[in-house]
Parts: sequence; C-alpha cells; structure tokens
Amino acid sequence: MLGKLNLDALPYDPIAIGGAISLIGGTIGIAALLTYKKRWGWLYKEWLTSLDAKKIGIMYIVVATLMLLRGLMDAAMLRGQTAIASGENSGYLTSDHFQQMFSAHGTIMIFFVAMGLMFGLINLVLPLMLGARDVAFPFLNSVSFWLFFAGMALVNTSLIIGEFSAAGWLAYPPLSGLEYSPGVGVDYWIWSLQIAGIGSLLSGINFITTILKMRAPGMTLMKMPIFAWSVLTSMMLVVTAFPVLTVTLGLLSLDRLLGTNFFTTTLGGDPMMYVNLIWAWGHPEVYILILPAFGIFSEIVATFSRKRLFGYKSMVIALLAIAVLSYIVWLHHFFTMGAGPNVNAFFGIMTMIIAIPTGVKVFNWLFTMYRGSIDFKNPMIWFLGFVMTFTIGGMTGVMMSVPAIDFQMHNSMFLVAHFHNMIIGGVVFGYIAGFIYWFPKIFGFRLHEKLGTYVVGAWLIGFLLAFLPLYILGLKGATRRLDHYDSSLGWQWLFIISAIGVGVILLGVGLQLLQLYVSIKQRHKLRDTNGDPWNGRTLEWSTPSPAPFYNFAKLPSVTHRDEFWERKRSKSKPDASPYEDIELPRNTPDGIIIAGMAGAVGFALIWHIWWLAALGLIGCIVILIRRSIINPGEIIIPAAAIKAYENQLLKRTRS
Amino acid sequence: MSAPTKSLLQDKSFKLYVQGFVFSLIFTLAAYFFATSNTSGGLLFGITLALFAFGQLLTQLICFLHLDQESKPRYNQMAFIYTALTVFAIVAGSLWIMHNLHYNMKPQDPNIEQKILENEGYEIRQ
Amino acid sequence: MRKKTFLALLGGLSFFIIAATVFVLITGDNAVLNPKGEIAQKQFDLIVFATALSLLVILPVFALTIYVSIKYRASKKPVDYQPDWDHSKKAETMWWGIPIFIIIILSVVTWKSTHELDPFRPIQSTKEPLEIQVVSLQWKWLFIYPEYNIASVNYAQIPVDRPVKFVLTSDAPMNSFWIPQLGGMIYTMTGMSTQLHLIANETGTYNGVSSNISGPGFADMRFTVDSTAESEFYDWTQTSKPTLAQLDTTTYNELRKPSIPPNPTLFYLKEEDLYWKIMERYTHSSHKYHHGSNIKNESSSESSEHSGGHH
Repeated sequence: MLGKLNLDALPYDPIAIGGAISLIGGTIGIAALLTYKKRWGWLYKEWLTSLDAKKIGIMYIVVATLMLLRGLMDAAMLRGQTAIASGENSGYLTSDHFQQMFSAHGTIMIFFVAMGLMFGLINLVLPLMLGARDVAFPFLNSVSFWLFFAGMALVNTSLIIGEFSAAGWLAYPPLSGLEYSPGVGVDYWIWSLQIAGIGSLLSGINFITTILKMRAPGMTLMKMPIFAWSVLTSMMLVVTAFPVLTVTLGLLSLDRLLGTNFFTTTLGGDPMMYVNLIWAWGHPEVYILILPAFGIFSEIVATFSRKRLFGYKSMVIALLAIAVLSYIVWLHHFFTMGAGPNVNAFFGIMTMIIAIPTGVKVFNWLFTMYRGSIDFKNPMIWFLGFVMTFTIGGMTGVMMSVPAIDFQMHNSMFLVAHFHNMIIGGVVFGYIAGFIYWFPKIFGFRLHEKLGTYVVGAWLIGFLLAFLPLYILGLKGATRRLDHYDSSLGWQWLFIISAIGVGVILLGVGLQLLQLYVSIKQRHKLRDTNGDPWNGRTLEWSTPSPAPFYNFAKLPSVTHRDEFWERKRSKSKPDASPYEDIELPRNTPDGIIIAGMAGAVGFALIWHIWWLAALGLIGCIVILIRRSIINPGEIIIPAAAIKAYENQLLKRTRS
Repeated sequence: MSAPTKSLLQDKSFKLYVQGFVFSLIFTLAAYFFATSNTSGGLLFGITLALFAFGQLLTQLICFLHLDQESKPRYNQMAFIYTALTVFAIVAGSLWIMHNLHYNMKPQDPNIEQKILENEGYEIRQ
Repeated sequence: MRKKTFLALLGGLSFFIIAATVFVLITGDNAVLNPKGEIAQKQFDLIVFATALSLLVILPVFALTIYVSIKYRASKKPVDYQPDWDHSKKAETMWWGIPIFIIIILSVVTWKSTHELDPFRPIQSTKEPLEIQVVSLQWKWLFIYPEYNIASVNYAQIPVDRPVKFVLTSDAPMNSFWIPQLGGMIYTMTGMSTQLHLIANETGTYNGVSSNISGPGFADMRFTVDSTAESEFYDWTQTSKPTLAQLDTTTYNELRKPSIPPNPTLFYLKEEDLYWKIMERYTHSSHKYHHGSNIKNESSSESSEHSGGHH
C-alpha cells in the first residue's frame, strides 16, 4: 500500500534527528505564528493564491532565503567536519552523512537559492522596468513558483523521511544507478529537480514572451534597460537547456524505476553519456545564473555613477555572445574523462573565448564609473566586492580551461574554490545588491545603510577566508569531497581558516537579518517618499513606492533609453490622458494544487507507491485541462477607483 | 473570455492537441523500441532514428507551439535560428565527444598509440 | 566609524588575505607547484604562463577600479563629470582587442600543449616504458604488473627516469587516478581502458588519491608511489613469490568486495591477463546489445587476445 515506505525511513542518528527536528520545529513555529496572529486567511488570499508578479517574486525570495540558511548550515557542518577530521580524528559526521550533506548543499544552493533569488528578482522588477502591469502569463507564473516550492519541499522531506542522495549535486552514474545507490536518496534528488526544473522552464517561456511582447509602447529592444536584455539572454538559455536536464533526469529515473540501461555499465549503457548530457545542461545553467547578475550590476553602476551605461550596444552584443557561446564549452567539465586532444583543445579554446565578452563587460562598467559622479551606497560596495572576487575567479577559470592544466586541478579543492568564487562573488553578490537596490520600490522604505556596509564587509572577508585557502589546498593535492584526511599532509590549518570564513559569512547573514529587523522598525525614518530613492534612470522608479498592485495607472510611452532619467532632465509634464479601466487576473489556488499533485507524484515515485503516483498525475492533468477550458475571467478595476487610489498615494507622498 | 459553447470534440485547436499528443507518443515509442530491438548499428539505423526525431520536432512545433500564428515573423526566424544552432551544437557535439571517447577507450589495441601519433603527424623522436 | 575608514580597512584586509594566499602558494610545499616529473613540470610551466597572461588583464582591472572609485566619488565633486559620455571607439577597440590578442596566444599554447600532454600519448624517451595496469575498486587501488607477475594494493613502485604507461579501468563506480607530483589525472571506468603516461624524474615517495566520489569509503582511496633506482625497482619485482598471497580470479572476487584495507598488500599475480578479464565482465555482456552507433573501428576486430575475441 505504501510502497517501500516504512518506519525505517525515519532518521536514527543524532545529527540527522537534529536536522529533522529543526526542520519540523521551524515549520511548526511558522504555522503557530500565523495561527496566533490569525493570518491564515490573509496569507491565502493576499499571497499564496496571488498572480501578482511582485507577490510571487517576494515568495520566491522568502523561500530562497530560508533555503540559503539551510544550505549555509550544511556548509558550516561540512567545514566544521573537515576542520577537525585530521588523522585519527574522524569528526562527528559519518562518511555517508557527509556525502549526503554536500550533495544537499550543492543541490539546494543552485536550484533553490540561486534560481529562487533570480526568478524572485526578475518577477519583482521586470514588468515595472518594461512599463508593463505583469508578466505575459500570470497563471503560469504562479504554477512556476509552486512547482519550485514543491521541489524544495521534496528535498527537505528527505531530511525527515528517508535519506538524500550521496552522489554529489549532479549524481553521476554508475554511482547514482541502482547498483551503487539502491536507496531512495538519488530518487529524491531526481524528482525534486525534475519538478523544480519544469517550473524554471515555464518561467523561461514566460519572461521571454514578456520581454518580446509586453514592453511599453515606444520601447524598442535597444531602448529597454540592460537588465531586461540580461534576463532575455538568460531565459533563452533556460528554454534551450532545461529540456536537456529533464530528459537526462528522465532517462536516469527510467534506469532506476524500470531497469532500463541508458547509463548502466552493461547491456549497452554508457555512464559517460550521462556526464556529457548533464553538463550540456550544466554549463548553460551557470550562465543562466550569472547573466541577470551582470544585468543588475549594469543598472546599479549606471544609476550610482549618475551616468549612462558605457557601451550599451557592446554590452548587448556581449550578452548575446555569451548566450551563444555557452553552448559550445560544456566539455571543459570533463576534460579528464579521456577524450582525445582535438576534442579537449577545441572545447578549451571555446571556453577561453567566452572570457572575452565577460572581460569586456567589466571594462564597460569601469568606464561607466569613469567621468561619473559616484555615490557609494551599499549596492556600489557590493559591486566593488564583485569586481575583486569575480576577476580572481575568472583568472582561475581561464587557467582551468587549458586542458593540460585542468588535469592537475579537476575535482580538487582548487575547482571548488573557483566555482564558489564565481557563484558567491558573482551571482550571490549580484542578487543581494539587486535586492537592496530594489527593496524600496517593493516595500516603500530603504534598508539601513550603515548596517548594510557591515554586511558587505562580513560577506567579503568571510568569502576570502573560506575560499582562498581552498585554492592552496587544491594545489597541495587535496581532492574535493573528502570527509577526513591524513594528518601528515599539512592540510588542517587551511581547513580551519576555511571554517572560520564560513563563520564570518554566517555573521554576515546574521547582520542581514538584523538589518532587516532594524529597517522595519525604522521604516518611517527610512521611507522612500517619492518612489525614486536613488535618483534612478529606468521606468520602475517612476511609480510610487511601494509599487501599486497594478504597477502603472497609465501605461507609459517611451522615447528614450533611460526614459525616466530623460523625463526628469527635461522636466517633462506628467501624463494628462484620462484614467482607464484596468483588467487584472483573478487569484487562484490552481497553481498550489497542480504543484501539490506534482509533489505527490514525486514522493510516490520515490517510494514506489504506484496508486498515489497515478492519482497525482491524473489530478495534475485534470486541473490543467480544466484551467485551459474554463477561463476564470479577470477582475476589472474601474477607472474611477484607480484615480482615487492614485490621488491617495499622491497625498501620502506629499505629507 | 469565451464560454465553451462548442462541443469539445468539434473545437479545432482541441483536435490539433489530441493529434499532437498521439503523434508525439508514436514517435517517442517508435524510437525507443526501434533502438532496443535493433542489434546492428550502421548508417541506416542512425538515419531512421534521426527521421523519428525530426517527426517529433515537427509535431511539437506545429501542434503545440503554434508556429504559424506569430504576428511578427522576425521573431520566428530568430527563435528558429537560435534553437537550430543550439540543437546542432548539442547533438553534433555529443556525437563527436562520445565517438572520440569510445575510440580512445575500447579494449585496447596495442597499436593504438602508434595510430594516435600517426594521426596527428608526430613521429617518435629519440 | 566613518564609511570611508571602514571601506579602506575592508579593502586593506582583503588585499592582505589575497597577498597571504599568494605568499603561501609561492613558498609552500604545494604538490602541483613542486613537480617531480616531466609531465607535471610541463603542466606547472603552463600554470605559470597562464597566470602571467591573466595578470596582464587582472592588474589593470584592479588598478582602474581603485582609481575611478577614488577619483570620481561624488563627494569630491569631480570636475570632468560627463553624464552622457557613453562611447569611445578607442576604448572599445582596446578592451576587445587586447583580450582577443591574449586569448589567441593562449589558444595556440593550448592547442599545442593539449596534444603534447595528451594522457594517451607516450613519453619520448630512450627507455622502454613500464606498463602498469590499474583497477579502481571500492575502496582501494589495485596495481598489476603483468611483466613481473606481481600485483599490489594501494602501493606502486616505479623506476626513476623511465616512462610509465598506466592502463586503467574500474570495477567500481567512476573513479579518477591522480598523483599530483607526477602529473594530471585520468578517469577510470568499467568496461573501458584509459591511459596515463607519467614519469618520475626524482626518487621519492609520492601521494596518490582518487578524485571522483565512489561511495562512503572514497576518502580512504589513498595510495603511495615510490620512485626508486632501476636496480631497487627490479629487486622489488623479484620479491619471493611463495611469501606472497596469490591473486587470481577467485581471490580477486574476494578483493573486489567493498572494503578499506588498512595497509598496502603485495600479491603474486597468478593470472597475467587478470586486467583484461576484469574488463571483460563489462564488455562481454554489452557486446550482444551494444550497437556502437556508427562507430566502425578497424582496431576492434583485430583487437588483441586480451579482449577474448567475442565478435
């Protein structure tokens, strides 16, 4: 009846039990708070069933932040283990637990933190920036978020029921095949990614359509903010790469569920094909993450330098070049698998070539600052941290793109240092900077500036302490994913420094939470009074803060790049055309239901509960068909109501 | 906002979706069973599989992605070119990579090193 | 404290940490940067070269960043503030041009070095290469010396200044064979035979690891490689056979079960083609079903007696 599921699935070792209890405790805590404050109805009506991109964006960011905390806890446990597990001391984690932990850490950080922050910010900002009211497909947007949530829920369920994969964040076969991983761990990994991946794919479609079809009248592609270009190119990658992930995960799950032989070592299977395909997705994935971060920095540097972005056209070309090139470099992730020198050299050279447009962007940013008048608010300091760390990471990347060098660095701690360098220094710094930058637009008040400066400091120093020693370790011959090592190797002091670095990063996150708390308490002092706290350049700053649920009362007309800046400069008159009725989509629980069914299907397939899988699948399809046939209709807000609301906002601004 | 007044079976786009669903299933299953029942490789085998894939492609593009309904044909062009390039890169790249890997790593012919060096125009110098 | 002070301190501390890292890299005992063999030496030379080239870009970027941040900060009310200046053909040419030029140089070096340091490529030498067959197991390394009828777990001895041709396979999940002081790594996979050509140009003891995760015992897959004079090596291969445990298919089946041996072991190799027999477990069954797509390889039909001739 319950497939493979039985009481044995509950955790039995103290650390695992601790993890499960904190998760359950945290969830119960949140539920208790909501009950105490009688906010369930509000939560359901205002947030969970909302199709407003801004609300969906905030939900993405909340989930991503919670997952960041979990991922950092994992990191702290991992680095704590390696700091003490020298020689006789085998630390406090068993090898299997350690391996599950780094697999969970990587999976969570990439799929649920980085992707979550990215989709969250895009949802918050893109429609506003384009002069639109919402994304092209608001219902699909909700489905995407809830599928993301379902994937996240599955990963976290593995902490309580069953186990997680111990095969790394990409689960290569044969290790991830049935023979070497007979438990449910790899299945949890497969299905949470499969479900979340579909959400990502749908978002890709959604955002491309939004950008191509919903820009304000007069906003040609070359007049739209550069952030929109970075989203467009990133989503182009999403739409072409995620199907590869879906298929590869699908083939692996067929191997595990039905005993097929796509990636087995016998009967015609080939594990190398898995490695090939997963990286054909995996490489575009990292560009998917970094391109919007580049876009964010472009907006930030131009705004705070009070100057036009240098070489806009060049930047667009660079983004497009990166999008195309990222499809012909993926073999650099497995130079050491045994391909011949022609293949290795080709992909190595292609990888180096991608460094060119990336480097060009850095120079364009610096020349935006040159002859500017730079206001060093928090986002600009994050940018400086980014320049320092990302260039180091880029240098080590160029090194590893030479196959002969990579033979000495692949899968070592040097590699670990490199990719954390790019992801933390590039992606995380970029998304945090973007969050701070657009926070006032969404919430109506700025974040506390001074505390924010300390946050950057902690993240930057923490990052350097945690990862620069790893470069040294890699060159000392330390391979990655070791849970203990010989004391004679002289590695321990470096692992200890790295653990201290993780501590400093945790301090930084703690300061961020403190900053949030203090900012909320001081929100009247920090209020964004006119919707334009930074003297911005793009259209989102032309709305009041927080942005009204319909974004724009009257859809703007655009004649320039940096339209808002030009309007301020020419002291143009406000739009005097009459207010019109606004149509907005109705709230709906369908997104939650579909994702819930999908999650149930995932859970059922993991535990071989076939009847539940069948039911869940049928449920998904039924709801989708119902939604496609029966249109729930829109809400129409009459022009008079809009006018009254806008006047209220105006009064509040003036007071 | 249209109420479903016509019977579902008469609706033209619904019919297209059902057709598309059936065709996509046919092409997927045909490819799988053709591959597993066929014990010899060869050019004909590869071409047949490629034809199935192409059929799948057309089914998806026409039945589901409504490629004929775009108002700005320029976007169609761009999307096509980008997708075609990407698919080409992934498929051709994978074929090249896997072929190369297998060439290097099958049970070894002791003369393979000689062949590698000859292929690349090197000579063993003393 | 004032923001300016804080930022200056932050910048200073960051640069200090970076400088300290560089210092340890240059002066420390770092295996990859202390090559003991020709292959590792060439890889080290490449690392130095690539670093130098990258610094040509990195250092100007750092300098420019610091310069514009200080000179153009708003509080200094910069006199040449030009809010609309966003284009310069000269600048664009420079920063598209110089990186392209650097990458061209690096690409040529890459092409050449990738061919020269191809792990399958034999090392030029007057001496005959020593062939060692390697099998990655859970969770240990098996070294087979077919010429000398010995085998060893987690230990290998090689003669100094003589090229060694490692021929590798796996009887476990995908693994990766790495001796950092002698050269880069190569993956090992079931049913497939990879190669790695290395040479030790100094006597000594070198550490080896597995650099691809293969299950809970993977961290213990360490092995040692002793590089000794030719005569010492020969003596070792002549270790009295009756004193050693025997390695044949039966004892191998015991050996391949998941375990972490506490010490290296030497074996008397009773079956000289054990390596090919191990591979056959995987290639044999796949042959009936394996289409090999369009790969036609003349070498497969004239493949040596090693693969048993199932065609």
